[in-house]
Amino acid sequence: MKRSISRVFAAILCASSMISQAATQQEIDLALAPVKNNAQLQVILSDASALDALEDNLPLFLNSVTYTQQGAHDGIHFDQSVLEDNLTVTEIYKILALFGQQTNIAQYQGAEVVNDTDRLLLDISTSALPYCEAASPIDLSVIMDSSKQALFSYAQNNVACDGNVELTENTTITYQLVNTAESPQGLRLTGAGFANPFDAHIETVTVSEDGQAIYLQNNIQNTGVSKFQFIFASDENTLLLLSPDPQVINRPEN
Amino acid sequence: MSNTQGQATFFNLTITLNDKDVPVFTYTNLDGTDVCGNVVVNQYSTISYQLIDKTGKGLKFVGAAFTTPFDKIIDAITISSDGTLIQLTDLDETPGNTGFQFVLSNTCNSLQMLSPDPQIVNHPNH
Repeated sequence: MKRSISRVFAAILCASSMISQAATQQEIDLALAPVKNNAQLQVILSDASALDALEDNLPLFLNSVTYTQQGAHDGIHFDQSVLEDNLTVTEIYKILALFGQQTNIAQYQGAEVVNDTDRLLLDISTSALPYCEAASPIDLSVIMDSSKQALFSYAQNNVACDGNVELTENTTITYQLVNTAESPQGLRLTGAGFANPFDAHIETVTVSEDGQAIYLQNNIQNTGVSKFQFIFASDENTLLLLSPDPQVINRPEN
Repeated sequence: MSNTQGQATFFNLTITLNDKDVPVFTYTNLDGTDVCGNVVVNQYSTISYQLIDKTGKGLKFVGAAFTTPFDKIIDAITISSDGTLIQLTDLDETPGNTGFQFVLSNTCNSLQMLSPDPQIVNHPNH
């Protein structure tokens, strides 16, 4: 019992530290980004840059770029699939760095991996991601790589998170599926699987009728870590797909 | 691990709850002898698992879930209408290992139960 409590405590300390570190790094990256608006992008395009790796797909990428005012700088959005489908992880990282978005590299799990740097970027980015927030829906993306392996990523408001959630009160956590051309055909959620579904950390699981969203309700009175795996059906075959395990941590506020 | 030469392999899967209400999975042959539930397949096979639910929680098979369901190691899954029998069809056309976990529903809540993973190993003879 003592061991169980200390493990939960360690997870909480670690989570708080990771969230603040990741947020700070994102702020630094954005502040130092060479491209914060369209004028700066045009300057970058007038010379050799990381964008040259896109070759013939550069116009497609540029056409997808949009700007929205967010405080002191523009929020810049673009079609991730143009990068993911055509470039290596390192090439994408260099382009994201132009926009101060390199911490989002974990969202490019389907990008080509050709060397140790590519692998390192994906490993580090995935392990250093912040927890997701329970307050807003968590986008869950599943794509298949060239060897038909399913790759999972999580994001909120286009910012990558690790899929885990830490809770201090009774909440409904929403995960919504974001299917793309790279997703398994007809992918839909069927439930959430637990090694022990009777420990009551999570009390209710509901799946939307179309299988595109899943809702988990916790019971904060049951302190501890609940690990689960999402379960998916698809039109590819009769087998179910399992995600790696996100986890929900119940930490009541005293 | 049993070595399967024929077309059909059959296991009983008994699920109990330990004193902390944690599910415990036990695999046995038809004669009651303990096995680990893993299978080596050398030719077209069906592998069946009969559920023996001793939890009192109304367990039923709802599927078998894989982290790599598209690798064609296992080709199809069928479940009996009462949810007590699950059958894995393995055409043995793709060599390799696959791990999977049984998914079970229960009548006490809306959460699904996952088993620890048994394993299928395809060793085509040809």
